[in-house]
Amino acid sequence: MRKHLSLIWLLLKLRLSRAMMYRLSFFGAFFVDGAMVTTQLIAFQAIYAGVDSIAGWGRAEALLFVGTFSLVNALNMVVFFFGINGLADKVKTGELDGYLVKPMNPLVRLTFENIDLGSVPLLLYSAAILSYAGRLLPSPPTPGRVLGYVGMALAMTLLWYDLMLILRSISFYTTSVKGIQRVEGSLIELNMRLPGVAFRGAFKALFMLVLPYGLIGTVPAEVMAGLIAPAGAAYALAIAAAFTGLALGLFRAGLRRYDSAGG
Amino acid sequence: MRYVEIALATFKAQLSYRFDIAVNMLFTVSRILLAHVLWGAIYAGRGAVNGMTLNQMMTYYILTAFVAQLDLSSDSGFEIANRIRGGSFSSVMVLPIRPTGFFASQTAGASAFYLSFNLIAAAAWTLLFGVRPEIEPAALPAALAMVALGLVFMMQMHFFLGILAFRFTDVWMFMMIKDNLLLLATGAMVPLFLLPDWLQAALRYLPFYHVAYLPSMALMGRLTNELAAGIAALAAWNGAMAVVNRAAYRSFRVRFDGVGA
Repeated sequence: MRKHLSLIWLLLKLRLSRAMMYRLSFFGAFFVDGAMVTTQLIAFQAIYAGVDSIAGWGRAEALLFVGTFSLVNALNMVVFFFGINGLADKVKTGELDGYLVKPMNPLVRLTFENIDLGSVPLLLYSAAILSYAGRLLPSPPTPGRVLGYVGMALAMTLLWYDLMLILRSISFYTTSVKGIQRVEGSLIELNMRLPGVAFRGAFKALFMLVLPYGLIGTVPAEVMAGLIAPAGAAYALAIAAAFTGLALGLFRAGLRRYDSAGG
Repeated sequence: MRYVEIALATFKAQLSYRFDIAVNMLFTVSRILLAHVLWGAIYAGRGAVNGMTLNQMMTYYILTAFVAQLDLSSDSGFEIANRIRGGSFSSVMVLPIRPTGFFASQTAGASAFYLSFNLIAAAAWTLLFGVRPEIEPAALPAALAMVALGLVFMMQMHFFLGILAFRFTDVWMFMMIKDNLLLLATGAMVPLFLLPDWLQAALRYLPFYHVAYLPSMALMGRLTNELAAGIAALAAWNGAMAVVNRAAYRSFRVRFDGVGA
């Protein structure tokens, strides 16, 4: 663990020295995702100007949802997005060879080699949205709910990581996952615009169980608003744990199959 | 004539990308699906929101998704930027045609190819989601003219963003920010009449209001009184953008050293 931490620190320093060469791009992810969250906020404000609630959620809960999705996305962008996102290309080109011969767990390196500190302001922006939404809630959040929220937001960040890793690990079997990544983008777009409580029937099964993007912004928001039953929270944690096992299993199985196609 | 040949060649080349055709058709559904679930939840127990029924709302989303899928100029923007970064833009510079015309012809050829498939997709989603389209045929000619002018404008804008690569090398950030803002400004995310009055008024001064939102609303028999002004505004924006592009290209191209050509 200590060895990994020192290596992660080294990767962070390397990443920072590289990022400083492209100063305009340094805050790129913040500007891009900041624009995305802002447009999302405007859209929700516009919708709630005409209606009181969507699937039982008022303006405060919807704002919590947007803030939470933004927060989880920000954690994703800061820590692992740019690392895991490149896995499929590394498999395709054989570049993954370089990760396998190094005296470090390849997944740890992939996960932390592209930490993006330029996305940190997005965390602050998300916190500001959450703080404003918290003040709009009918019952102010208690310390216990805030603590539960932090834990659930971290679990949902792990779930997002798992989903990213699973979809990119498919490249060990199919080489190219461009189509799958495009579908992933669409699913995330859909789930960041709509709280999971609005899904019914087949959509509910799809987005709350099979590809549980619907849990990511919804469950932590429900914890903060005090709307979730213990069984609901346990379900979300169980899904995160199950997908973590699946992601790690798929990655390890993929590595065994990897034949360095282009290396 | 040379531009028509480029458009025709691109049109034929699309036949090689059958998977892209299927994906392109399929992806029109993601926005309509989102609208179906979101607005289905909002309309539960309500007859109308802001004077619009659920059927009219779905008609709106199918129309805007159709127009959005016709616009393939974003790909051109990325291609221009990638060619500049990779050095292969020099092969466009040496052609006896204007680069704007070259990329516009390519985009027009691809859009023309996808037109029929997008029509099929729109018809399929209309049936699948049980939408009864409420279309005003009298507004069709003006709406089509506006869509055509809008597509030309989008092409010009993406050409400009693409050639920024002469100056900044990596333009992905501009492209992504633009994509996020356009979702709101074109009315693809929510119909613009839901936005606050001050924001609607501000958006009217931008070309994006006229690219998909106004033609879609006009086809539904709304805002038809704005059509003439909208066409004039888009024509003016196109003229201005052509001037900007010409000046920017002349200024930027001297920075190109053709590395990697």
